[in-house]
Amino acid sequence: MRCKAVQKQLVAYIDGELDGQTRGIVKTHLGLCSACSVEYDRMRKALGAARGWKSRPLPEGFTEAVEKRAERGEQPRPIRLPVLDVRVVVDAISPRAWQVAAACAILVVGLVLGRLVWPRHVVHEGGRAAAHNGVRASAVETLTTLQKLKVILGMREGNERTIAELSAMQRGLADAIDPQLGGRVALYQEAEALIACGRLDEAEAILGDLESADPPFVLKPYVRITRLAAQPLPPVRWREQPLYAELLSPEVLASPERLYDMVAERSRRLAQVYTDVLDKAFRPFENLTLPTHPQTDGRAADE
Amino acid sequence: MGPPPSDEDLMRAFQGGGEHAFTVLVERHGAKVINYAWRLIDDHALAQDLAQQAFLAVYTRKATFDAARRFSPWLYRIVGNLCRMEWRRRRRKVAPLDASSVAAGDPAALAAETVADPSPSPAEEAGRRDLERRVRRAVGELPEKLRMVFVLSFYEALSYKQIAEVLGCSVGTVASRKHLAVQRLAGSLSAVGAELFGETKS
Repeated sequence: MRCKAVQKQLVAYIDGELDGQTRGIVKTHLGLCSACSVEYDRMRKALGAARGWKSRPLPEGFTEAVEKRAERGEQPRPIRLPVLDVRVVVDAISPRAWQVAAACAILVVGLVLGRLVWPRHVVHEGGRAAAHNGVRASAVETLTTLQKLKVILGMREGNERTIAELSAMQRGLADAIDPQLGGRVALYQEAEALIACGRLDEAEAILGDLESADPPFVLKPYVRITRLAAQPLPPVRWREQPLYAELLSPEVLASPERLYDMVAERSRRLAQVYTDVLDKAFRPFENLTLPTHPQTDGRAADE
Repeated sequence: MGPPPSDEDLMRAFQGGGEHAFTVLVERHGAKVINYAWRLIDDHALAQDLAQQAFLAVYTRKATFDAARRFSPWLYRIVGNLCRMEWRRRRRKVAPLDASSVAAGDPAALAAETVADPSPSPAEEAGRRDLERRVRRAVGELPEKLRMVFVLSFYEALSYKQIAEVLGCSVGTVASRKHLAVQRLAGSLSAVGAELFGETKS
C-alpha cells in the first residue's frame, strides 16, 4: 500500500474498523514509514485533545421537566419551516396525504430507478425515442412533479432521505432526456445544497445563471421557491407566493390523491413507451425493499 | 431479579401503556441525548430543550416505533433531526453563523455556558476550561455532516455500522466523513494535543 492509501485508512485504523488484513498492512507500514507515522501521531494528538470536551451529567429535574411537558400534551416541533402559513397548511393536509406523497415517491422511484440502471446505449436510445415520441414534455412534467414533491416533503422533518432519492431521480431523468438538461439539474441541486449549508452567495450565482439560461431552464419557476428557502423569514408571505398557492391549492389540499393521479398518469404514459426496457431494468430490483419513513408510518399507525 | 430490561423491552411496555417505562428511558438516555445535542449545537441550555423535545417526540410518537428494531438509533435520529432544524434556523436568522459566542471569545458567554462542577484547583480548572473551549471551537468549525459523524463516532462511541444506521447512509460514507473530520481537527487541534502530551510527559 502506498502512503496515500495508508493515510486514508488511518482514522478507521484508530477506530478499529479495519479488517484484519488491512489492519496488518497499515500497522506494518506505520512501522516502516516515518511520514505516515507522523500523520498518525498528529491525528492521535488531535483526538487526545478532543477528549477535553467532557460530557456533563444529567441536569437535576430533567426527567420531571420532560414528564410535565408530556403530561401537558405538549407536542414536539412538528415541521422544520418556522413559517406560520406553512404550519397551518401542513396541519391541514390529511394524514393520508403523507402516505400518498410517499406512494408517489415510491412509484416514481420505481420508474426512474429503471432509467438509472439502463446501460448507456439504452439510455441514449431511450432519450432519442423520447424526443421522437413527444414523451419529452411528459418527462419534463415528471421532473417538475418531482420538484413539487420535494417541496412538499421538505416541509416536514424526517424526509431528507426521500428528498435525496427524489433528487437522484431528477438527475437520472434529466440526463436521459438530454445531457444539457442533466447538467442544469445537477447545477440546480448544487444550489439547493449550497443554500442548505448557508452559502447563499454561491447559490445565488448559480440560480441567476439558471434563470437567464437559454433555452429556458425547465425548473425555472422553482428557482423562486428555492430562493425563498434561503431568505430570512419575516418579509416573505408564503401563502401569497403564486407557486405556493398553486401547490397548496384548496383542491390539492382537499384531495391529495390528485397529485398521485397526476404522477401515476404521467408514469403510465412513460411506461407505455418504455415497457420492454423497463422490464429489463426492473429485474435487478425484484427483491428491492423501499425505505420506510418514520413520519409517514407514524401517521398511518396513529390513525 | 434478572438483568435490567432492554430499551426495546421498555418501549414495548410503554407502547402497552406502561408510563413508568418512559421515565426509565428518560433517566437512562437523558444525559446521552443532551451531550449529543450539545456537541452538535454548542449551546448547553438549548441542548437541554432539544433533548426534552426529543423525548416528547418519543412520547407522542411511541406508536411509530418498530419494536423489532433498536431504540437507540431511533432516538439518535430524532435528536439529529432536531439539531438539523436548529442549524437551519440559525442559518436563516443570522448571516454569519452564530455557531458559538465562545468562538468570538466572549468571556461572559463562556462563563454563563460553563457550569461550575466540582474541580480540583483553580489553575487546573482554568486549563480544563481553556481546552474545552478550544475543542468546542474546533468541533464547531466542522461542516455539519462531518460534525455529526464525528460526534457519533468519537463522543458517542458508535461503530461505523451503527452510525450508518442512524444517518441512513453507507458505512463507506461514514468512514470518509470521519476521516475528513479528523483530518480537519488534526489541523486545528494537534498543537493543543502536543501541549497536552508535553505537559503529561514533563
